[in-house]
Amino acid sequence: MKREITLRINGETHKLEVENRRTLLEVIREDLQLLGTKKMCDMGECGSCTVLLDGMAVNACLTLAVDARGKKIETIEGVAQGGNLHPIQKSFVDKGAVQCGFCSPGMIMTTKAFLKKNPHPTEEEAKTAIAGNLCRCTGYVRIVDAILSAADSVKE
Amino acid sequence: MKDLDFVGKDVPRVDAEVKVTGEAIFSVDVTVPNMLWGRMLRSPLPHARILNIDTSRAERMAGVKAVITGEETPFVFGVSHMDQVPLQTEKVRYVGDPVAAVAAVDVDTALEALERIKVDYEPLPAVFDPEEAMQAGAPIIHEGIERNIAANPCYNIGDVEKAFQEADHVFEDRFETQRVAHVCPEPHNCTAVWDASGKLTFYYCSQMPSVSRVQISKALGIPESKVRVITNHVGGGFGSRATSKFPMDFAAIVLARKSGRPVRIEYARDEEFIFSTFRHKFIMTVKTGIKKDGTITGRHITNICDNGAYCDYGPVVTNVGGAMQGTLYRFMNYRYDGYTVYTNLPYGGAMRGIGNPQVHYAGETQLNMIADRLGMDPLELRLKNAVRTGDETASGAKLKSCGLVECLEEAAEKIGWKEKRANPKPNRGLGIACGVHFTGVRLSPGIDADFAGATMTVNDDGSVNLATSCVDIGSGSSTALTQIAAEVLGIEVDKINTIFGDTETCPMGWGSRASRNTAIGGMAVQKAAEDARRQILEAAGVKMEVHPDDLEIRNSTVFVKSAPGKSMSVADVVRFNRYRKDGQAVMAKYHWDAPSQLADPETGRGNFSMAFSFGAKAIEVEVDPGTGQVHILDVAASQDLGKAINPLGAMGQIEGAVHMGLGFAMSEEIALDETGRMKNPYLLDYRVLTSLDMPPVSAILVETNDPIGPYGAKGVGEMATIGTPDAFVSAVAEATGLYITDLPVTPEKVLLALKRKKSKKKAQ
Amino acid sequence: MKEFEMYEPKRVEEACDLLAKYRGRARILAGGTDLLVELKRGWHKPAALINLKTVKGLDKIRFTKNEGLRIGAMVTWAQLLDSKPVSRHYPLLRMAAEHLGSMQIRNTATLAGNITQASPAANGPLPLLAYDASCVIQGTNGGRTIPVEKMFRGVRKNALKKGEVLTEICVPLPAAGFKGTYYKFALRRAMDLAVVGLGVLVKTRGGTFDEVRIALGSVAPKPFRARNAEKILKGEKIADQLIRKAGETAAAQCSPITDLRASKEYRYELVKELVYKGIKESLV
Repeated sequence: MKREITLRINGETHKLEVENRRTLLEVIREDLQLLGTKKMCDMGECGSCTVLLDGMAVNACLTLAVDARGKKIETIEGVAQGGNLHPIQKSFVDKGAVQCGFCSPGMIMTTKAFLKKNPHPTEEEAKTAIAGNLCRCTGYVRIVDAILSAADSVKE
Repeated sequence: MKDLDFVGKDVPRVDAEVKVTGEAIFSVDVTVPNMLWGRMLRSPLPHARILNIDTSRAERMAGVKAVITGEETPFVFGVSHMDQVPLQTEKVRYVGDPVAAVAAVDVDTALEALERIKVDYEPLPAVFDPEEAMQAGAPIIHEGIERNIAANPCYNIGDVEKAFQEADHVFEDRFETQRVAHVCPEPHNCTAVWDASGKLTFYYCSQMPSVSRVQISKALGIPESKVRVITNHVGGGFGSRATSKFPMDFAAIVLARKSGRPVRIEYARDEEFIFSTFRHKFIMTVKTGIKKDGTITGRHITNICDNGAYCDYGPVVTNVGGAMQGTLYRFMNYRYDGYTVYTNLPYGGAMRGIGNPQVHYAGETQLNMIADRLGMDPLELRLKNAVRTGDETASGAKLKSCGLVECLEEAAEKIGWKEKRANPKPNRGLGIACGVHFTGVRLSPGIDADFAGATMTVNDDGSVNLATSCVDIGSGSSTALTQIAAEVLGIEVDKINTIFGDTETCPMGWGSRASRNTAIGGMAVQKAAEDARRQILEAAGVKMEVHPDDLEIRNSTVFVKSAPGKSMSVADVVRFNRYRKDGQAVMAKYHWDAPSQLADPETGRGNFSMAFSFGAKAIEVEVDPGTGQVHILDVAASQDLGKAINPLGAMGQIEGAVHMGLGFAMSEEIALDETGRMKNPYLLDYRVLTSLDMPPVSAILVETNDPIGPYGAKGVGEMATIGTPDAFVSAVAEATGLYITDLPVTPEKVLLALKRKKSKKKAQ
Repeated sequence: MKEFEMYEPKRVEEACDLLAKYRGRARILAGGTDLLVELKRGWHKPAALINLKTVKGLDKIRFTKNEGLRIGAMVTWAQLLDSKPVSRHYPLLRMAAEHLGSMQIRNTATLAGNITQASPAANGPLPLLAYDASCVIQGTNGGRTIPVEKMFRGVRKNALKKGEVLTEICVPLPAAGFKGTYYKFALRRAMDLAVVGLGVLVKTRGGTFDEVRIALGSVAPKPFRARNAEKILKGEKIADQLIRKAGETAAAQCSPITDLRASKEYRYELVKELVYKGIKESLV
């Protein structure tokens, strides 16, 4: 049985028909073709599906689509502004924090939520923030560099 | 030689922008209209005859568009041994061996359909231990393969028995390494699309799309020109995608043909763990002869590779481990007996280092044990025996550049080797290890080739389109190749667009494996770029009425060397060249085969790679004797990569490889139950290190400027994986007084070993 | 996952009625981080989920010196981390929050869910046991309050009867002078389950142990207080040997298993060591 819900994603409103069991991850990838959010494990164990709900980082694979109603949902597609990379994205590029790139959207969403709450983190705090985002390529070294470097340039 | 503008610089990755915005499309993101979802039915038994498969109930189910069994996939293939079919018809050989596949309108329907397929099995006795499998009387897994030994790669150089007689000490030790997984972020997936003309388009996260094309066209009996393999960005490979995942690929292809609709098969994370061909378990015995003064006289290594049920890369993996142990130290008496043994378990394949990390682990750990036993400094012992530039090693490798000594010294210096060993602290220890890996390789008997291709067009506006056979699986190869092209052409990096992955537009090559992209891919690009440059200079020479030898290109401008004011833009040259009577385009191509040789079939000796990368790892740990927990205080990872085309990129590769090596050392293990079912196929239970678990890592680049590779470059990615568990185990040994060599070295193993040592002491 | 009905009650009573009506075939959805994994792996196929997010007022943390802490059923671990009263007065609970999962999980998962899922390895029970917390339960036949320790019946089995919902967790203010610590010994520093979990509170008086509370997890089917170990310390002079003995006594009360993470032998050793360390650390 499908039900009609409305989701607000990256400032746009979407009317969708979903079953109760659909996760937010499935809906944004399959129904809305927002493919930037990745599915690495589908069990909340890797962070690659991280999106923001009312500014908080959550695993979209463990969020039912129906539970995301009424929330401000942000995905990686909404981070760059008017064709310009967000300072966090720019930092990831400049600091060599991107290798295969599959974990990058999740890392960037986590970083965005984190820096908003903690604009001047220590290295340990940055590592703790991304502890729920697994990376197999970088060893996290340049990602942590990028987060600390972005902290200096994020104004909002 | 002119100063370099692009090579050797930290150029940001050319694909980073599309990756940080989520725009980069990976194979798993590909959606095709009318697509169906496929899933495979797998055996619940480790060894059984298939008596009957009844798919009728599944076929009748609403939403199911095609069901196939092995009768529809009669393709025999493999990597070096042709021992596989996509879906079994006669016998299953491991828990998970596929027997049928369905394509349905969604995944839930496909999974339900699988439940409706009835398979009757007759269980057969199974064997799960390779040493048991090699015994007479063990169940035979593949008919005709005696004692389940699929391959027996050997090296027999010099006289190892004489070497042992001449030694002052002979030590023999046994080591075992565990199965570990690649844990590629993007799970395996493929999408097969047939069109009415009989052409197949196959989207696949491949490391070698042109090889996949050959494999598919051969198996299906259709021309290569009718098979298009498309690889987009790849979410990690590490060797797991260095060959077709035949069951998945062919199931999708045949389901698509039968249903008349595109079919996508995608692994869930647990399938990714079990079926993406992990690093093989090795059981090794290392026997080393050594003189009082520390000179190694000879080494004999026996290696039993637990292959699993099918060969895949198994024989190659067994071979490589042997070859590399004859390439690190100067002893010339070397024997290696490798056995690739079938067992009724999920099977392994190529994983970063392809057999080398495991055998290095055994050899290097033993060397540290020997240093301990003889009261020698492990660093000095290595420096004494290390190969050097100009050596021809036991394995037949000709070392035209070798930075092993510098790597050892740099890693030791960074970790504070001398000072810390002079002032040991309780519960703390240092460990050191070194290694060697190849840059591309000729180790598959009968295949006398190791090549890459590049094609290049310079456009009217002076920008460049470059197509390479190398797939960027995250290693940064596209960026390095772009930098090489930019340097040769004198055209800026951001004017060069490098593509890969589409067999319709990119040249053929072995793709991305064996650490070959920068060097072999790079040489193809360099040669193509040199040709394009020659064409530009010739045309410019005509236009400017100057001899091409008097011309130079820099910043997209062709100028007269002796009169730099006299110049024209590359764009103008290209347009001049094209838009005139008998005009020409500026187009170039190159197929570059690495100057390596196949091994002598008798001894196994040969100069089997164009160049060898060396490296060393030094690790400092502190052990909590109350819990066994090991805190890693520092890691120094030095690497001779010839020339760092992109230093930031190279360091990133090394840091990532250390992460993988530490997991191998401390926390990662594929745990199988008594029937070979994986107990921990989830990211919570299979522990790759999180950001909080990573210690400080110093990646140190050593440049030895190899004479063959582009700008002196050699391979990076795999050498970086070698040596980490060796150094880790040795550091823990120094901290605890105990060599705990059973990987992964968990806190439990450390504590229980310490307790046993204590009670032994008490008993004495 | 198999499809299910979704109910969005406005009041707890409605939730209780629905649970009772479905007779075990419905589950409460709080944060869902554990429940959805169960559903995805096919361990459970409920006919209905009853969403607690729509019930007003369950997401509050209330604190008074008299009543102590009152944590609503929808309070997340992230809220606990942000709470000043938790940081000031309940450091063990704060530490348990810091060591739970990941930032993403902490933003979604609830303390109440952690309790009702009743995993022997859960973080939440240990500080609550040490602080003598209790669970406020509402059911179709009225309400009851039970000590947290009584919430656990076995591995993944809680003490809720049909139609009952855990609505609040009450944590009294510990008496002055208690100091303590929380350990989660795991194989990774994040995203992992405890091999052994410990919550310990110590109050001393002039060189003797006045009161010690030792809560242990991952070493028995249920989290529990190691009361034998607590008893041998009470009233005794603080001495290293005695603390070691407490560790051994606590270990003797455990019934650990061998699983993917560790052997039972190792768990016994860890309990001895961590109880010793934890008490010593609480004395500083």
